Amino acid sequence: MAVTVVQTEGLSPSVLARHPELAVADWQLDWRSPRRNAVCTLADLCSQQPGPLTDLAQDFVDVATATYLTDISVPRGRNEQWVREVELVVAVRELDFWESVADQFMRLIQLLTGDNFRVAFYPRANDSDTAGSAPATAPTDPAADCVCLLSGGVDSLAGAVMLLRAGRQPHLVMHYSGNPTVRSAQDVTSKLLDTQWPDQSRFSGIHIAPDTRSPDALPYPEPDMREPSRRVRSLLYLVLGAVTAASAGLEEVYMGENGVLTAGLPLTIARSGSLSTRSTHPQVINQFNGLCGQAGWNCRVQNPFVYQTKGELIRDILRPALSPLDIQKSVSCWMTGRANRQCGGCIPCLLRRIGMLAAGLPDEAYMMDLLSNPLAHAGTDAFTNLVDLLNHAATVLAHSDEELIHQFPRLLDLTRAGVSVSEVIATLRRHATEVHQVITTHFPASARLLEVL
Amino acid sequence: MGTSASHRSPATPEWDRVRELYQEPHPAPGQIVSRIIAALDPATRHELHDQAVVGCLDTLVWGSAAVAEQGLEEFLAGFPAITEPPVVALAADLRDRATNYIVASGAASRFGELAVDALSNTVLSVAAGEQGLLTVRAAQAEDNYASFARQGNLSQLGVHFFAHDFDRVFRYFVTRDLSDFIGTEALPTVSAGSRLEDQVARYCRSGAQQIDLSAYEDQLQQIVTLPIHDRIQRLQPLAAKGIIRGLEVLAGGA
Repeated sequence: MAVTVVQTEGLSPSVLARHPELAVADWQLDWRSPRRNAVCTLADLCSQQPGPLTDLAQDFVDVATATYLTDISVPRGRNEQWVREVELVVAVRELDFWESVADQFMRLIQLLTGDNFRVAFYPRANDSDTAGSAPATAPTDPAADCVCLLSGGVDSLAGAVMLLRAGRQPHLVMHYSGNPTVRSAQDVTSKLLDTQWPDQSRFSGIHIAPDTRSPDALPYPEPDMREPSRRVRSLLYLVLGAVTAASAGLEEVYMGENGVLTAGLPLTIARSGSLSTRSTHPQVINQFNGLCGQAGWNCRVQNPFVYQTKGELIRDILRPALSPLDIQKSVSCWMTGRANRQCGGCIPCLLRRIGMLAAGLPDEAYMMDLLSNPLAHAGTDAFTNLVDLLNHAATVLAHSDEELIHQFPRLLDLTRAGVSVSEVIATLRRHATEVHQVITTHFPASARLLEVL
Repeated sequence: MGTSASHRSPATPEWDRVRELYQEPHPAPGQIVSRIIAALDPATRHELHDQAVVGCLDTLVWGSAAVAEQGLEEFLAGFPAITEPPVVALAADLRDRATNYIVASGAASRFGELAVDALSNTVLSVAAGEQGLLTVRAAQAEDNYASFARQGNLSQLGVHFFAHDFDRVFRYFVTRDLSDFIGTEALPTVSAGSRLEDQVARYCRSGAQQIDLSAYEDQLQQIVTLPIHDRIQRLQPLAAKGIIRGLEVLAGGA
């Protein structure tokens, strides 16, 4: 049974009259009227654009916002119930465009979520929608020559540093999700960049998140009933980057993510499908760039780190430019905000810790020291994460390229986006070597779970 | 990788009996598979041959007929990754077609994801043949894959698919519980866990070869000429039969 979510604000009364079923959806979304149950604050973006956002640009933001909020509002089940059935109705200004790209858009969402995700587009009422059309003020910051997405994590920081060191003038775009720890990391890293390379970048922070604080707010799932996997969050980043670039006439949008995560291979088959994120997978970026092309935008999203490991990004890009303390101001933890400190047991924490040590940086403090004493955490999800990470590294090091393609057929998906399978396997091998070296050098108890190769 | 999750098997007495085996030093793979099959509820058994799985089987057998008719070069004419080895390009292209069907028909599922992998591995295996998948030439790959259609042997191609599908499905069932036992006397290292997983997969591939679909060969030869909707409809009972028969064979635990 599909869960139905409708962006009711913006739907014209005639549409609602013709489709009464829309009024009895499982969830209604609204980020503009007094009944809003979400926030979508574009002021920071609009104030830095030469003119108001076009109708199509506003549609892109609305569609991404609605999809993101829907993703959060529908909890997944476990095991075979992980895949969801979702129907989303969105109100748009450029109906012809969205109907012409509906299949491409749904393929993009399926790539990200693995769900049966249907999206229906309806015409938006001619109302006073002012979110994106506020008169633009003349930008006071330096002119940008490209856009770079900044999440607060290590890899996107490396993307920004790479550009700044090359003398580029990026417009750094952040999505504020409402998570205070991530927000703090975003603020700290953006200040850090502005201090290190003064007047070389401009910054936009766009707040898009559920918000039910108003007494008149439409219902929305309580925080503990929301889906934590957030597979659609990267769509928000892609859209915010592309809208920023298209509005300013820029062509390059950088989304920095290391090659191991970008390849999107499950650590084990138990994590197949969207149990493993495809947030920056080349197919996703390719599909999104196709939508931008259809929109008539010249901008293209690109990830410069498809063939680099996290350890290499830290060693080759961040270390020569920033102090270890500054690098460690970034936040990678998936659980952060829930714990207010990096947990040490989620996959991003494990990869960060190994990447930092592989790059020769000092170790950091985490809530749990899983790597030093793994068996103390046996039976927990954190222990499973470590075992699967070690298993993945051991598998990559022990098998030929041909065997790895059989083991990880998802590698084949890279070819459609023009990414070289053999180059990605080479990247995976370097990453596996980093894992092996860090574990055997620093963490003898974890090393006992590996066999000497 | 990044934000990545896995879930353990349900907390039922039947799945507990499966997990008991992971505490033994050298459990027989057939016994593990047999207990897993006993633990599957009816809904899960049914999902093993859902529409997405049928879509993958369809893509495989239809692809053999299409390559036989068009030749590999023309079949892959629209595929962008021309620099990849031909078998890799072929498997990637068919994987993409199956995924497109699954998305368009709203049929995504857990076992569909595994079946897309099984489709890929079947193509990689049969098209590469005795040669390596990275070194086999295009003409040989075409011969190897198209021969199933040309020689009236699509039923055997179907059996190969079920073998790889059971390989992926039972790896999935085993792996999701195995980490809890790594570091114990039975499975001291991650590599010990991988070896057990490989043994289970080998058992499944081998057992699935006993599925006999030869009685359906004529039907398969007709099905591949039909429009996709009709193909899926007519392949559904065949897929169900293959999976059910496979489970019967594998449950023997030999």
